[in-house]
Amino acid sequence: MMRVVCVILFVCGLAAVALADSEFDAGLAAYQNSQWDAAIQSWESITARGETSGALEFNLGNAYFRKGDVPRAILHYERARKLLPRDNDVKQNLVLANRGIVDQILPQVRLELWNYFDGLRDTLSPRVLLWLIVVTNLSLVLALALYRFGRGSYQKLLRQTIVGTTCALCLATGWYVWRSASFADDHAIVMAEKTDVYSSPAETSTQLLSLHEGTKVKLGETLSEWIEVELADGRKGWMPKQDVEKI
Amino acid sequence: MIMRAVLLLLWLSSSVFAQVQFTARASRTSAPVGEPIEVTFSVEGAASGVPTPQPQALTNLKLVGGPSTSTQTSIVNGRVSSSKTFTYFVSGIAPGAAVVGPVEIEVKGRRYATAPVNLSIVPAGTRSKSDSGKEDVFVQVIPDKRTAFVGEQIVLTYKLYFSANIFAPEIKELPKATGFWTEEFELPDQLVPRDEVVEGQSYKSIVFRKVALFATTSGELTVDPLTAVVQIERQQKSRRGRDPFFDDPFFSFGRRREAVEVTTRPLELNIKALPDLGKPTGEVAVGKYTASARVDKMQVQANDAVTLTIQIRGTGNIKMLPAPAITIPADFETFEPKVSEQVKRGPDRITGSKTFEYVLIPRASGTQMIPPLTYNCFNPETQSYETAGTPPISIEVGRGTSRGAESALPFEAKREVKTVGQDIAYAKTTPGAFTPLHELPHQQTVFWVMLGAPWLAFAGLVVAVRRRDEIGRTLPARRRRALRHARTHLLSAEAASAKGNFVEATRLLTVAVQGVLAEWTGLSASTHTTSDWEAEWLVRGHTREQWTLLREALELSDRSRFAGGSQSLQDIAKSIADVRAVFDSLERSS
Repeated sequence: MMRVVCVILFVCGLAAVALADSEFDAGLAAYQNSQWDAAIQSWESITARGETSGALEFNLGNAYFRKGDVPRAILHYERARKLLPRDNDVKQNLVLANRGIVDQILPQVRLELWNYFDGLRDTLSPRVLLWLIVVTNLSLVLALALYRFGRGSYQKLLRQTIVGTTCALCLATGWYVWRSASFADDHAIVMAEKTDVYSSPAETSTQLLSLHEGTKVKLGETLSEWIEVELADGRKGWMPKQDVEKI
Repeated sequence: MIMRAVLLLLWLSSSVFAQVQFTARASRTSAPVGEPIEVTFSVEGAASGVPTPQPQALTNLKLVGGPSTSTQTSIVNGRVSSSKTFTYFVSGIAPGAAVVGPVEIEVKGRRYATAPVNLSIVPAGTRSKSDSGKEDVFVQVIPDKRTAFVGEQIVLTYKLYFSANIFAPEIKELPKATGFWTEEFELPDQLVPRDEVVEGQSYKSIVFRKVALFATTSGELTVDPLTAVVQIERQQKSRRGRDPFFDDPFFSFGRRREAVEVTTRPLELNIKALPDLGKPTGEVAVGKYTASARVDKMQVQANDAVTLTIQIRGTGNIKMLPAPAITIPADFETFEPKVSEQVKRGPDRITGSKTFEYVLIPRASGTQMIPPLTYNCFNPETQSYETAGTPPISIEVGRGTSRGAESALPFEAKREVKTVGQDIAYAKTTPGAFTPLHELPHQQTVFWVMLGAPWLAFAGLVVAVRRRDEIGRTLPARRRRALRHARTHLLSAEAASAKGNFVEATRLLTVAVQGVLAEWTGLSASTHTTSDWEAEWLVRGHTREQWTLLREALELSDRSRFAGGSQSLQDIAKSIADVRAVFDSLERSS
């Protein structure tokens, strides 16, 4: 019975992957014919099922950009950047799309060293790091098994291998935790054409500034229909929650 | 001398007994807002000792000038009369009634006051009327359209209507046209009047200003009023009942020249934004245009200059025409274009051409193609976007001569590869691995399975091995293992026997039998003899027949070793078969 269930689940998984692939290809065909709306519809049907990929988000960004919806293009490029942190196409298109927004916010001055660390952290995606953890974990177990049951003159080499793979596993796990923290960092894109930021979660409070569509903000606490946001230059305030969409 | 004394006496007597009159009079009873009105205060019967009247009680009026003073003395029939006039200028503040209130003065101890002067202030741009109420001069601004698109040409014609003799009008104040680019039309030096009938009145009219406006923004825009000063010749008004006969134009001395300010009404224009439907990207010229492009040389050597001339010709705001978005091949070095304009102002529209001259220097040989030019414009007449284009231009560029005098090789100088356009990177053609949206990989079950499965397998292996070891240490297990090894040796013995190696075959046979005996009797071959094994074998309840077969196998081996392998293949095969039979019976019994 268990075997039957496993087979069914496996077949369903294969079918889902095949369906997503066919929808991706259909979207690509529409994109090649400059049918931006059709391409978006095909690709959004994949994300509507709760699945995504770096290439899919990148292509959605392109289709929205071609359609003229720059804020939504930025949203999908940012999502693609999370999944494909080393992809130069994603970086380039994100830079171009950001030229089309109104707000220009100068980020806070940071030490170059921190930027270097950020770049190092983003070198590998969480998925790759996870595979690294799985492989080093498997290597450690194999080395332990050989050391435990093997005989001969390889024991010393196996001891060194165990120490090495243990260090590698710790390093990969730490890196993954570090990367995940930045990956799960709550950022969002302003989707409203113009929205006001207040000093507290009420329209009667002092208006601090106005933001326009396409601006990236960091999300903070949520209170009822309001959310706290922080700009790249460090300014904070409260704005209506429905005016932003999480990356 | 006597005569002078008589005159002085007469003058003195008249001044003593003359009756003083103080009156106020306005040059006209009606005037547009902001237009000056002349108010004259006259003191009849006194010229000296008259203070300057101060008109302070002004209602809906403001003082804009004055006073200017004049004194008159006349002797008629021996009677001496004198008067002094004070002239002020006031202007209306807002349309409606206006009053110059009573003004008091004190002359020779007696106070005199004027009656209030009532005036009517009309909106700016209202036609000027003469004292008789007849509209004798006024100005109008006439737009060719009141609704237009941004950048569309609107022609305003300023016309002066008059029914009296006038002299050339002078524009006092040009109107502000905020939100418009303005182009003045050229008018003839001699303005020829035309006869026109306006509201039943016969007038002569001249066009004294014509201007084209191009709106730079959309919305309800206003062109401010224009004010002009016209010298008009009017009939002198008789104040003392002069004979109307002298009012005939024949008698020019009965006329006076008067400066009249005439003002247009503010002009409201509705400016619409260009339609979004079909709007091309980039800058769009508004008007009707054609484009042409040419180069001065179709064949040129590398590094020699070529001039590309692009001319945009048509009707519209020529000066504000945007430069054409032309893509010069990267093999050309280009310079900023020289721009020149030819604007023809009139008679009805602003037309002309704008020329862009580009100096191009080809840096590479071969056929270089200047792509077609598309110049986007919006034609207000058809209310649609149109494209003025030019065909592609092909230029044959020869290799030319090397610029470097010392270089004899016909190589062209290296140069930087220029980026001529920028766009987003194309879509990715492979989807990559799909992952759950907004979910980190470690939140998936498969990760933990892959992480834990090796450890579980390792733990299972450890447990299995340990269990096997524990089981292996028991007697039945040891005996089964001994039988298994013995059977393996029997197979090897058969193989050796088949190859004719009888010594090896009997040795393997001995190893097999000794292994089983050692496990079944608990006595090792190295410390015990055959008789020990026999005794123990039988003691442990095994049959004598079995022992006999096993002993024969051991003896066969001994004979083979000491007798030099004289046994036959059949003997070894029989012995192996016997031993195997014993092993079978032992396996069954255990």
